[in-house]
Amino acid sequence: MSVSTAAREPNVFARIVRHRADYLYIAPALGVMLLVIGYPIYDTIYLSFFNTPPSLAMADKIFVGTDNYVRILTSEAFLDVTINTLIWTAFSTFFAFALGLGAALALDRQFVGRGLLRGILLIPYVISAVAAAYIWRWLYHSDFGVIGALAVASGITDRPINFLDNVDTSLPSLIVVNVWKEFSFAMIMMLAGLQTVPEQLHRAAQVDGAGVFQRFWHITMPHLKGVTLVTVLLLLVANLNSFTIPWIMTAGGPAGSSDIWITAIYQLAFERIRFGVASAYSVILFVVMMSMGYFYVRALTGKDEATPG
Amino acid sequence: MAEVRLVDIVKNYGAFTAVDHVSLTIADGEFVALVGPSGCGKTTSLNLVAGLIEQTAGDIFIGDRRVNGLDPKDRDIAMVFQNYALYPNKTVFKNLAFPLKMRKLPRADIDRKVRAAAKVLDIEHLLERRPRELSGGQQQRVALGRALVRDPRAFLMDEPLSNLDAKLRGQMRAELKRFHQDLHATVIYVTHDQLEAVTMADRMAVMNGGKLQQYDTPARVFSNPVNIFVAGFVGSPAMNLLYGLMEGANRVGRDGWAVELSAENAGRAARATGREVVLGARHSTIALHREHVAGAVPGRVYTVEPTGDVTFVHVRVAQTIVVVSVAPSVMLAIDDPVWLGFDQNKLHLFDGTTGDAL
Amino acid sequence: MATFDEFGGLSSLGRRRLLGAAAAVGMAASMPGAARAATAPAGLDTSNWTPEYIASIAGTMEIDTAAECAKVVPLNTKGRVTYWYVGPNQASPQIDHRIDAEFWAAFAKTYPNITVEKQNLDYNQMLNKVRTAALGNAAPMVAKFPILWGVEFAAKGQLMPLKPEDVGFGSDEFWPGALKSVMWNGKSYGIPTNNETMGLIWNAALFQAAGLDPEKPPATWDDLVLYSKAIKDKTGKNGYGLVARTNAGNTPFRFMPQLWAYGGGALDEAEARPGYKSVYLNNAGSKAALQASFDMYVRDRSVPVSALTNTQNENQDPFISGQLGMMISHPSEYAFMLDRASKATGDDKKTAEMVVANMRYGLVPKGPARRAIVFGGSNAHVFDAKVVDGKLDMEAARALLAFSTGPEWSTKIAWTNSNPGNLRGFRTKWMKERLETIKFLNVTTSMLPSGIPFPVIPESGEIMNIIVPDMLQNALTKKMSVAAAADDAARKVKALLTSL
Repeated sequence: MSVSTAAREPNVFARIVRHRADYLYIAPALGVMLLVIGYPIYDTIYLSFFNTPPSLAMADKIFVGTDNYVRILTSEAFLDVTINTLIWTAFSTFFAFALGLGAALALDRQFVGRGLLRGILLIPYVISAVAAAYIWRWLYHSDFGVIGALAVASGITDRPINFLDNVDTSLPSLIVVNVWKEFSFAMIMMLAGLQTVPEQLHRAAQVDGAGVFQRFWHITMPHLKGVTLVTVLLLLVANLNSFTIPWIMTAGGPAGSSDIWITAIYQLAFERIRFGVASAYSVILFVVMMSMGYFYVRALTGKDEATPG
Repeated sequence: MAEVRLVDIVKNYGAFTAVDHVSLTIADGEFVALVGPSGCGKTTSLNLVAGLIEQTAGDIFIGDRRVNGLDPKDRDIAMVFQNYALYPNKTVFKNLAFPLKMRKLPRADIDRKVRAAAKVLDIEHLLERRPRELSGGQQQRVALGRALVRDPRAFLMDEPLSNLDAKLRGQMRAELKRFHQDLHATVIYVTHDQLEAVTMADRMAVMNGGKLQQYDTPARVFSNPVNIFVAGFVGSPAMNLLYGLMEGANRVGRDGWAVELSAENAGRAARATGREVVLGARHSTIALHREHVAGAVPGRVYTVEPTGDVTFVHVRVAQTIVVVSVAPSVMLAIDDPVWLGFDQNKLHLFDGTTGDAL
Repeated sequence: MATFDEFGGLSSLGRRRLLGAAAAVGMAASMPGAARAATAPAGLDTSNWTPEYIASIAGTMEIDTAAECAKVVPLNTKGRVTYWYVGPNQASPQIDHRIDAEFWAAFAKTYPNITVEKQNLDYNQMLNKVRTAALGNAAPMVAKFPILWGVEFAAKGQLMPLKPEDVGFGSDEFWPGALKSVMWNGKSYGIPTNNETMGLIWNAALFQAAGLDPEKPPATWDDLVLYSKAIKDKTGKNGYGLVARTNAGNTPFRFMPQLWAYGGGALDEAEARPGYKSVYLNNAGSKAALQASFDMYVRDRSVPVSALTNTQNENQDPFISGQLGMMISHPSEYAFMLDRASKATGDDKKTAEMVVANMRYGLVPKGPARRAIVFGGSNAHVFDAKVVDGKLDMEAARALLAFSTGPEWSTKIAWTNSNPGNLRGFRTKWMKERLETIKFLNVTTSMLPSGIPFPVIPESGEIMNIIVPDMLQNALTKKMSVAAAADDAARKVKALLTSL
């Protein structure tokens, strides 16, 4: 029987050969991934160094080096779009998480109708984003929207409220819709986490004199650190990628006030047919997301760093 | 410290009665064990005393205060849990300090009390560690410390040793007993292990099916069990029980075995409701003979368990197995014929119909 | 009325007479290949394109499609052609579906041995699908594109050279402006199938309630601004259906006529001989047009607040429920409103029917410079063999083209919302039937001479769908002043054209 020695180098190839059957098992999945994910990523990065004006066929694209990146990073629109993206991502994530946590805490106890309520709260998460976007678009409509009509009818305002056609309120209105759509994802994750809090800890804290809020703060929250981290990271990534709601509701307008990275990329690629620049933009977004993905993987597999408290 | 009184406590969960009219008094400074199989209501009773759940009927007194309806934190009790329930993200110091922090004591007081408790339990050197860095025994001491800082009137312990391996359990048992004696603490200790109860408690309350079966010192519970359940529960190996029928006034037996009763025992047997009588004999009260002796019951060796100090011989008598302890030098083989002699003075008799002792 | 010059653009008043004379001369010389002299194609006097004239020529010519086709491609030819087009969808009126079915049945009867593998695509998806297909060398052989879609493929060398003569027609049988839209670098890459322009539609009842003449549209754009305000002030309903959504094709179709009327434009496309190099987007005329929209949206608040995110679709419901006074739209809008009214129920039905009864069509207002409207329509193209999926069957393609761009079928396919690309179509009995059965057709048809196509360059899409709407939005949201928004847009167009 072989015993692995301290020196690993000579054993690597032997180990691979010994496990070649394992590699065969994962080969198909790996192959599909390379084809569907790996190759497009490679091609996008490759394309980002070229200029592809609409008047030229793709085969005649011109090599411009890092010109596209410079152009994006120094364009005046980039700063605005980046700020929009930060606002969109941060606020959506924060409120979706807070609402989800609140809902999970409320649902963590037994009461009549609990199952029904949980089902209802899941509805926004499961309905199609396109349907949700259109429904909300009409709710918000500046001339004939339901919300505006209710506001006028109840005397709060004398003309329908302008949500989407106003440069100041378009992004916040979209954030509301986004939070509405995804908070129950956070709810489900946190609910699962809450079920794992040991009952005895709560009893011990009760005996020690901790009230409901104190038990939440000292026992529940620290215990949920892992789940919280994962949930927040997943929300961040989803929000950075979130295209359907902004695009269908305002298409980045009015006047670019709700333009975020992903809608800007779409517009560049498919409306203005600038594949080269859009690819460079995509690569920038990709780098940001991969950094977050790195932290996500670390959180999943790393040790919990206990916080003082 | 204070006495704790349960007066006719009932706890129902819907149609299920978890605690059925239990009355107990634990004297000030007394160590009482609540013992019984799972589901007998001992943990529920403990939680009722703690105030974690509310009783359906009955009163609970801690000291001379009636504590019905009071929150746990207002009852002046402290609890030690099976899994210790130490706060995993806090240091040992912060664990000990937590109950005091909840009481909003000033920093200096908290510091003083924590260090005092730590000293008593000899965990001063562990104050900056976290629970996961401690051994099982150390964790238990921290749990005790957390209970200690509260200056409680009574300590409630819910199977605190169940998670430990056998060797550590023995050690901790001794430490807990020492802890109790040093502090003159009132302790209510729940366990399913009758050995723990017997070795540690001043008195033990045996429970089964929500009812209190017997509440007495371990010695008396051992020597005078009030019914078949208690007889079979306390003592290890368990008391041998032979189910038989009265054959005449002074003979008990059943398919293949029979025992003559002494006049006194016959008199007790006569008090049985019916003909069914159960004989109880502890392993140390039965004599094992290699050849037939008058009055002895024949049987065959089923298996032999040498333990070093003593050898337990399992003897098949008719349909039952009777366990007898013999000196380790006695050599026996399986299926050897043996004869068992019962000591009439140490024989227990139980009513076969009601289960009560006769 | 104005006439066409050889570039299909609007000529100024001064030049009209001169060209009118030339038109009379050219009338007699209607030969294939003589398009240079322009005007008076196929026995028509386009200098006199009034509703009365249009009515008078209808039904005066008999067409034998099969015979004409046979001269180009023999009727028993065997072949296979793949064909992509934007056909009738669920929202289209029944009649469109019927005609589409009749077309295919008739083609099968005329050319029984040619199989057509057709794909009816959604308008919003077709362009992306064709772009993707061309990239992957899986393009169809023949495609019918809305006007100006073809230029990007021509610029990339993905289209076969194609002109009317290739299928037996003369260039003089088509609008010069339509022919301009299939030109790239001096060569022709397509055949016009149908052409249309929009008109101004209004609700006569709302006009009346606002104290305006219910039967007359506003004569000028400045009048339109006043009318819009009057309607809002006196009836509380929105006046003009402004459309200003970004990334949407509806927006430039309604805003460019305004720009051109005031003397502005994106480039010099409204000029007699556009070179597509000078930027007009921030000239005085463009700024005046932008100011007019600003006045309506911000100062008078007489247009829907949701204009910034509306497409024309979002104007239709308000109009049919009597909440909108006027809008620029397609000839087919009437058929659409009729359809909606028939599907309405209860009180809505009464309202809808009232609106339909009060619906009027008129010419789009003129501006200080001219009266203008976007020249719309579709062209048929053949893809180059190297990007076609499979082997390009040129004979089958020509057969399909000869059949569909002839007078009979270019008239029939354009039934509800367009006009025949082949001008002889105006002389057929089917045109006569259309004029008799389709309300307002004579009005919308008479806008044709005012039509101006968007700049025929590949960058047109970005200019029209993104830069121009962004300019509108920047001004209407007051993010920039009117002048600054126009300058900003002009700068973007310049940058677009000068970068490779």
